[in-house]
This record gives sequence, structure tokens and C-alpha cells, in this order.
Amino acid sequence: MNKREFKLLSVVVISLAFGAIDGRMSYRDFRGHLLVICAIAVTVLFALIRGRKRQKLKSLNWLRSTRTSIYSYFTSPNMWGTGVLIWLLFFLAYFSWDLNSFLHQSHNLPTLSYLIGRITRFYFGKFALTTVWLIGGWYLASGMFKKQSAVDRPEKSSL
Amino acid sequence: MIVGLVIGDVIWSVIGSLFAIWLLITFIQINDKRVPNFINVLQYFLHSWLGRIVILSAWAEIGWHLFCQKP
Repeated sequence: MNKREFKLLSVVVISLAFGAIDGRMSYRDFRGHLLVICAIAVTVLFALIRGRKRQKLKSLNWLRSTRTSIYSYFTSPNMWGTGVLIWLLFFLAYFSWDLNSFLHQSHNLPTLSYLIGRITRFYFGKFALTTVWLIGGWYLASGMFKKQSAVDRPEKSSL
Repeated sequence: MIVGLVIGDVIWSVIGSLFAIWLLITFIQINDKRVPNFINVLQYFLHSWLGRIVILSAWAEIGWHLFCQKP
């Protein structure tokens, strides 16, 4: 087993353990709240430490590249851009319908979280969802960093 | 009509089914990557601190809402 596989296995095992513990707790349980807050804090802290000086783009350049991509799509449309638009449509459909259901507060119009609540009220449902949620968080906190090459690393003798 | 199924359930089923089909289509095209899949969408946000903060905030909010607030 190499280092990468070991890291992946560790994340899966930790997430499964987290899911097994959190799955037993009701949404009212203060210990469950504490557990979720701790998971969020550790994940964000991990991203901040691991990602220091390793982001691929500066935030302003990222925004600029997004703007350039939008402009270039409207001047010469391509399949990739159309795919992005379809993703955007799905997120808009989700947000608008969820907001509509939330504002009406009617039994006939359940929100998505209410429907998910039908799954998380059972131990295995909550266990599975919390495990997937934590693995997703780890990916978002550690994925897509540029690898530090020997050139990037500051030399101790340079001062 | 299935007993107990309300109009909101039907709309969510339609959105969910279309989403699942689109997810499948985008993941199937392994070598011929012409449209972005779900991972590509996530990776787009991970290129800068601003995007990473946005997506991590959304992730944290989803976790808090689903596991700590009344569903």
C-alpha cells in the first residue's frame, strides 16, 4: 500500500467512524451538534494549512478567467460551455423550487431537506449520509492543490 | 396516483430523475470528455481560495442543516 492509498483508506475509516457515531444521535442532540461543528472546524483548518501557497490561481485571476470563459462562450459557443449551462440550470431549478416550497410551508410542497429527513431519521440513512458528507468535505479541503516542486520551495540559505 | 404522494414529491422526482440521467451521461463519456461532469464542476471552485471558501461554506451549511436542524 502506497502513501496515497493509505491516506485515502484513513479518510474512509475516519468518515465511517464519524458516521457510525453521529448516526446514533438525533438532530436535537447537543453532542451531535458539537461533532458536526468539530468536523467543519477540522476540515477548514486542514484546508488552510495544507493549501497555504499552493492554490493554483489567485482569487482575482480566478474571477477574471471565469469572466473570460463566459465572454468566449458567447462569441463562439462550444459543447463544454453548454454543459456548464445545463449544470447551472439544474442548480437554479433546485434553488428556485426549494425556495418556493420553503416559502409556502405547505404539506403539499416539501423542501428537499424535509425529504432527506425521511432518510436521516433512520440510523443507517444518517450513517451513510454523514459518511459521504465527511468524505466530500475532505475532498474539497485537500483536492486540486498544486504540487510543491523543488523550485517553489524556499531555500533556507537564500536569506 | 400513489397514495400519500403530493405534488411537491412529483416535482422533486422529476428534477431528481433528470439530474440522475445528466449525472450518468456526464460520467459515462470517459475518453471523449466534451461536457463537464460533477467532479469537474467541484474542481472549478477549488482553483482559488475564494472558490474553495465558497464551496466549503456550502458544504458546512449543508451538513449543519441536514444533521443538526429539524428536517
